[in-house]
Amino acid sequence: MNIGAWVVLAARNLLRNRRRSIVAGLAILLGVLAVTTLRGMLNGVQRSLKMEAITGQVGALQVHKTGWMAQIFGAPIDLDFPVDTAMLTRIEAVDNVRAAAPRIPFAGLVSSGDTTTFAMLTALDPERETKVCPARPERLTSGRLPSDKEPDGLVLSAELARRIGARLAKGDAGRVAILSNDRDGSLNALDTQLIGLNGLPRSPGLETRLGLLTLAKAQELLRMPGKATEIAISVNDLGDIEGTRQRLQAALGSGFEVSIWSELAKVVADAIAIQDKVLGVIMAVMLVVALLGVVNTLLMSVLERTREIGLLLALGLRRSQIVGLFVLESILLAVAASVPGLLGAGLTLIVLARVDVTFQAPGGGMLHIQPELFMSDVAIVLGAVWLGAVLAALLPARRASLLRPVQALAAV
Amino acid sequence: MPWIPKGKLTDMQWILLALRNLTRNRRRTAVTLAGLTIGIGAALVLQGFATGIVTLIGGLMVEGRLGAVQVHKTGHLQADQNALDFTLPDSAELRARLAAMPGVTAVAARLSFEATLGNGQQSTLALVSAIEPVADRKVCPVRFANVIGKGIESTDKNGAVLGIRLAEGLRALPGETLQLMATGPDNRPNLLDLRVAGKLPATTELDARRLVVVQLGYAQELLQMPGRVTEYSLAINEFSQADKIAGQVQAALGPDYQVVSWLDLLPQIRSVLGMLTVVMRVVVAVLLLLLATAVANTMYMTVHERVREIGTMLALGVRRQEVVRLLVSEAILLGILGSCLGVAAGTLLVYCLQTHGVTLRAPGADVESQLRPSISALAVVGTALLALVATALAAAGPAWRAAKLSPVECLRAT
Repeated sequence: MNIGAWVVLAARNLLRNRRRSIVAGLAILLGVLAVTTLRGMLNGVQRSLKMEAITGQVGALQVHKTGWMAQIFGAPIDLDFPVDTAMLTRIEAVDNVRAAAPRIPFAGLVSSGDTTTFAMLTALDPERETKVCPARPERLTSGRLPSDKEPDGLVLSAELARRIGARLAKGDAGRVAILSNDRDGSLNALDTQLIGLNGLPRSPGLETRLGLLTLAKAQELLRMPGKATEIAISVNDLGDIEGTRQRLQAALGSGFEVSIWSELAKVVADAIAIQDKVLGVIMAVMLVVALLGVVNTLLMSVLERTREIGLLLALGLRRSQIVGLFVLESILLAVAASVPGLLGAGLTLIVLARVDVTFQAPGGGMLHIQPELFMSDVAIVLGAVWLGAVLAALLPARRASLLRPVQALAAV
Repeated sequence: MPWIPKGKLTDMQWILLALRNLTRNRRRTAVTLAGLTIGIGAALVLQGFATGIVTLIGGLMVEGRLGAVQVHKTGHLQADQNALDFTLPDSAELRARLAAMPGVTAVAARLSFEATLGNGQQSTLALVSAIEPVADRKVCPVRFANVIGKGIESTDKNGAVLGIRLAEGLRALPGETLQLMATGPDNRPNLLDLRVAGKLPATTELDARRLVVVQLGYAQELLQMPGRVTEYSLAINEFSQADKIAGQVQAALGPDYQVVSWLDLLPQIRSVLGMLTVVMRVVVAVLLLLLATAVANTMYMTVHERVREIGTMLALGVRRQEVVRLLVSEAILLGILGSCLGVAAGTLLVYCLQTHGVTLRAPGADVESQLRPSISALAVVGTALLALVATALAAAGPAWRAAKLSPVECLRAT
């Protein structure tokens, strides 16, 4: 018999008791549907968290002077380096790098009227920053980002502005003074105008007491003309981020350290890893329960077909061929059930994508979930189900193959 | 079955009959039971993990930082820049009153405020928590469990413990002196030296970056507010009852005070836990559906196998509803057996995991914690009951099919 004939035979066997096959298939279908839908939703959650970090605040990669990462929170301004167009061009020439933007993150005080409080300020190059963190404007609840036209503009987290009593208004109500120690340790002040308010970040662990101003003004305030302490970088392909890091490191030499977003927004990366583990466990449990239904069905099938198997053996079929037949039946059932399960999950995800699903991110704002499914997820689910189907068939198939033709034919 | 035609069977006889039918095909019953056991066991373990996560996060936050319940002056939690205008007296009488409330096991006073911490060259925002070292040990016993260096001793008047990223950012080593600057209720900034006693590895990102722990007396001197505190934090006897005890304390103290549980203070954790509950419910529901298909499958096979027998029963005058009852009883018996095994396996696994602990690093944390799954009797009983309902419903279809069979055709079937 050729393989096609075996497949036809297996399919016919499955169709002999349709109801039974349908119920066993239903379990697989449900399992695939639930697992794939959960995976798709989780992908949406993880993508939002990740992209919020990458395009909203951090960038895909960052370059600092060596030693910075050890004291990242202190945002030291003495680990500075001169940046010029030549250096940025050199970085942007590295394969997969889309854009680079110089920054100075620093700690300072913001003051309005007689109230002063602490802020984590980030000085940006307005034009270059739009290519590295294009989602920054989306985070504004009102107003706009500082630009070359408004070099003394300032954006504060809405909460921070409320605290110091500053409002988005012309004149005194919108005037905010920034105080900070410069590189030599003496205190300087800078007058700015509040032009935008920032909402809460949607990813946990990102800076919430945020202030944004132009790089030129910060260089003035900190007395470090032409210098920066950080270069944020966006890439074309996030999949090749590790390779990009190595190429950047090679291009810049040992005086600089190159970090990936997952090291800079560690909370996000950690949360994603834990979610993946939990989903893996859930998937394994559902798969096992669904496949036990298949084991049961096949065992039943062996019992019913005892005489038939005896006949096949008596006619000279090999025991391995009997095992193969049952394994084939199991696989056919799994394939036939998992495909509609996948389609159902796809449909559910499309519907869920239309409905705007939101949830409150831990320590952040509202997160919109756009579910998505990767081929790799589909491959993992299908691979696990099909492999599981083979394993599930082994016990009943072995039992069938060990029958003795004479006794099997004598069975009722 | 000689006794079938002789009138009605007692309930016990029906159950025995159902049990016998289950033992007719042992392998099939065993596989179905295995499915039920794994499914119910897994549902219990998953719920155990969900509870374990609450306990883990709660343990870190409650026993390491906040206390289970906090008593504030009404208005303090809503205030921003003028938070220090809402304070409570540092009084022995109030402590005694709080300690006497039902469920409360310990009381410690605290002063929480924002300040600027500097090393002479750079300065940064700090969230200061000023504690009473002795009383605090009962409310937050694991506060200094992972400290690098030393915790805060009563004798160490200006000792401070810093969040690790804060210490790294200021390049502060143990023994070094830093300056803490804060504005008291009189709106005048005050400055006081502190000495770094130790640093705390991250349990949450925010604490690692901002937290400074000092003595209550030191903070009262810095802010020039002797005899005042911002909150009392309470340890309670049953961790899961925080919301309830907070409500009771609130009722006893009246509207001048605002009593909150740790979950009120961490709304984002409440939302994560809420989401976790939803996901767990969906997963448990899907598991039960899968179990229902397994049982339905088994019952269809049973009906198929016993067509002639069912025909005989009907021909002998057994009522259709009795056939339905017999088959549903078989499924329920399977469900009961499976639930027992599943509950046994699930609780055993939860117990083992609880004893050994699952090592886990919370997002953004430096230290690993032990996740200890646990499950309440209520959840166990609830899951088992749900599984029973699911199996009974799953049997309804096959049983209905059996009841509709015509005796003549059944007896003719091979």
